[in-house]
Amino acid sequence: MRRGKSDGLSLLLLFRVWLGIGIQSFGGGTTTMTLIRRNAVDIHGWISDEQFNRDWALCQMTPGINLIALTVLVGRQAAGLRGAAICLAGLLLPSAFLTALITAGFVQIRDLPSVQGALRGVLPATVGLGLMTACQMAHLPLQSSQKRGVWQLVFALALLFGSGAALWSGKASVVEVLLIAGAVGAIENLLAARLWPERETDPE
Amino acid sequence: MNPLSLFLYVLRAALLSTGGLGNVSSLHDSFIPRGWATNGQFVEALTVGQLSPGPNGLWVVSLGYLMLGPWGSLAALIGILIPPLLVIGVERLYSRVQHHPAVEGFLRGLNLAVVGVFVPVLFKLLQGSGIDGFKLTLVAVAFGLGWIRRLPVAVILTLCALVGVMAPRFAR
Repeated sequence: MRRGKSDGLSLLLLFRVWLGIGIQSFGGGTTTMTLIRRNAVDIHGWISDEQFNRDWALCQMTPGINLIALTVLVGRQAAGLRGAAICLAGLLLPSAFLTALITAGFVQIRDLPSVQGALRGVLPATVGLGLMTACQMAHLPLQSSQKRGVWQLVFALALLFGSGAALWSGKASVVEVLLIAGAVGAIENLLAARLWPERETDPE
Repeated sequence: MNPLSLFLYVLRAALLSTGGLGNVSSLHDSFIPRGWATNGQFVEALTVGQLSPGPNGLWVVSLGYLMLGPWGSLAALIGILIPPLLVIGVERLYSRVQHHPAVEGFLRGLNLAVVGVFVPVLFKLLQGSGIDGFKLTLVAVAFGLGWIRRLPVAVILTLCALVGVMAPRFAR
């Protein structure tokens, strides 16, 4: 491991590697995560396999885009905070610029009949892919609830559908629903820890 | 609506969710009722986000552009950039409080709710232009193709776009 090594050459290499990751990653986050892992663990050895797994778990709990958080942790491990900044620049600047550029191009052709037709097909596809993402996002928390017993799973499902229904009813905003669900989860878990202390040890 | 308030809304939405698409719901909830963005713009931005390189979360950069031009996309980029930087603090803090039941429970509740509110928002996106059999079929097809993970997302979107172009009589 080359912790703290931050001469110009390795910073340039970091930038190049993350530029490649940013440009190559289309679609799902899993693809990008795999690309980062291959480069940082297998090819360059900036970070150990174990630490990568630990970092990825931390990133799932950090607000916002997990891949940005992962880039910060891996970049810092490779070359300190400067390394993290370089990696972020490589990952985001070109791809964000291209995203804005593609949007600008799209605005020019949006009114063509064929583009309108394409959008009519793309709208349901976006919704379908979004539903799939929702299922993937639900998998991990539901699985960890299931490990804690059937009532925990029922509670988790109630929170999941309850928050959806609360939003649908129009009586609460998204932010309110999220905060209330977090609070309910915290209270339930505190009570569970009091009543059944033996369950407190969570098998990760 | 100006770039500064766009930045603040994006920042708040990103702070309260994880993953690149976790913020769709809060932003939809903030922008649509106020007339700052349309359902169509959300769909366009989500599509561009999937088709362009970089993390999917950059869809917000596209939304920012559609709402306010280049400054909008810059404001959105800064808004989604800041929350993940907290990972350094999370790393320190988490080793101390990770086994506190309240922390664990809050995060679990929040994560479940992020998924729970996503589904009605997706339904509203679909509803925006009227629901018919053609659309529901495409929803199911895209879901199924995405589920088996054989095809890249860009290919699925392109296929559905082609269907949309070639079937104008069914799609309204």
